[in-house]
Amino acid sequence: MSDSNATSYDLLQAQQILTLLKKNPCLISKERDSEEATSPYSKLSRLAPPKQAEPCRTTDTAELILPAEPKSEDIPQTFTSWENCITWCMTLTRAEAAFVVDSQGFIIACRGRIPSQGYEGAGAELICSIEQLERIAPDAGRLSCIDLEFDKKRLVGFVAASDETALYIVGLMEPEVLSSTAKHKVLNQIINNLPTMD
Amino acid sequence: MANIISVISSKGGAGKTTVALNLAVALAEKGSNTLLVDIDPLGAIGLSLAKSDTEWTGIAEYIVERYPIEDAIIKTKLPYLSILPRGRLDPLDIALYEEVFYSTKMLQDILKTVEDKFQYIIIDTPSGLGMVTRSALIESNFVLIPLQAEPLSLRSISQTLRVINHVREQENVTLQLLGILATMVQLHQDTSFQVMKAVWGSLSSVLETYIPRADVFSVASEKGLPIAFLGGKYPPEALRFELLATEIENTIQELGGLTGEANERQQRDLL
Repeated sequence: MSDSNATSYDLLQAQQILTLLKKNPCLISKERDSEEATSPYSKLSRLAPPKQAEPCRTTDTAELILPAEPKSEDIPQTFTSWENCITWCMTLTRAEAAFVVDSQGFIIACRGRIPSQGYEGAGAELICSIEQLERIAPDAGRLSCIDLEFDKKRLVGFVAASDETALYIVGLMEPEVLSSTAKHKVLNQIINNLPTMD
Repeated sequence: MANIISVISSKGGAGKTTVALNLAVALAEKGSNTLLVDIDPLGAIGLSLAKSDTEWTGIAEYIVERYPIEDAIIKTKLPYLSILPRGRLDPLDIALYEEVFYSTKMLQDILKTVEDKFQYIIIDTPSGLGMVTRSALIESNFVLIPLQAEPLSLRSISQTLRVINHVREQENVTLQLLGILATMVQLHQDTSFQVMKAVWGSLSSVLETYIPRADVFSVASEKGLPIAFLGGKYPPEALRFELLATEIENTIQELGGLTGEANERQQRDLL
């Protein structure tokens, strides 16, 4: 162990950081840019988009924890049209497409990556399916949301209706996984705006 | 408001859990109301106290069942020491546990719920600088780095400091370095001595107290006790932790931390 190479340590960088840690963090930020430029580390964060400070996106974790901060589905929204509504839904859920179906199965609004055959078939099937699904548990109340996982796609449908308005379904193609709490909040936003949307 | 101290190290086996446990005991023995929080997914605190992996409920149950966190806190026989265990976490769920820690404000919520009741909260973190450790740093006021007195630990210290510096700049401006605590020191052994020479000569923020390597830690681990609780002659290493507790209290005071009521001495009668 008397070999000086074996027992020498390059602690210059460590001491530089220790010196920085003794300073006020506000003063450090200006020095940081130059430090980043000369940093000996490979920055994986330069290759990937920065992680957003948002609640977990996986189903399990999202449903386990109550959100600590007000999220965009908590803030009351005002929609004047179905276009506005599905645009907001797409932004919130990062869906690649969205559509609205009326009680007859007709598409009354759609947005995003619309398939060549449109959503007419999907809309009609959804209306039929919801009637069938409600029969599974007749005493469980009104079906409010369906979450369908296919091999290649995800479809979430919100069933919006109130005593004064007809039934509508808002379908989201490939949205992010939403917790049941978030789904209810989204649905409430849609229902609350039903009287004002045309 | 508690002084929240994360004990972190990029390298495993540096003595984080031993330091966290025995420091918490020493602070509590001095009369400071102390909570030891085990966020290590391996549940190292429970294992150190000879508890089985599934014996204590804790953070895992809080995540899964929204179990009240106050109910998960264990009051120990030492009057001022409580423990918040990791809980019965399935090892297969560790990745999910880490994800929950970093992508939600769960730890913040837990600490907010309990911090008014304690003067010190010591957080034992897992080895490495991953998501659980990062979230602990984000929620702490202070960070303590155990540095094993051996070459690999010393060569990796820059990694730990770099992460602390980043968190301080970007995510938690209130975070302050309490110091580097040398552990498993063997000054009579050449390698360990050379490491300590380099530490003392090249780094600032090294605490005066250091923890020597000693058999008593293995004995305590085998019995599932903090070293101060072992029977027989009071081990000098336990005295080290008393000194460490005092040094940390003083450092926190110098750094503007909260000293609390326990530091305000009442007049006493001698006769």
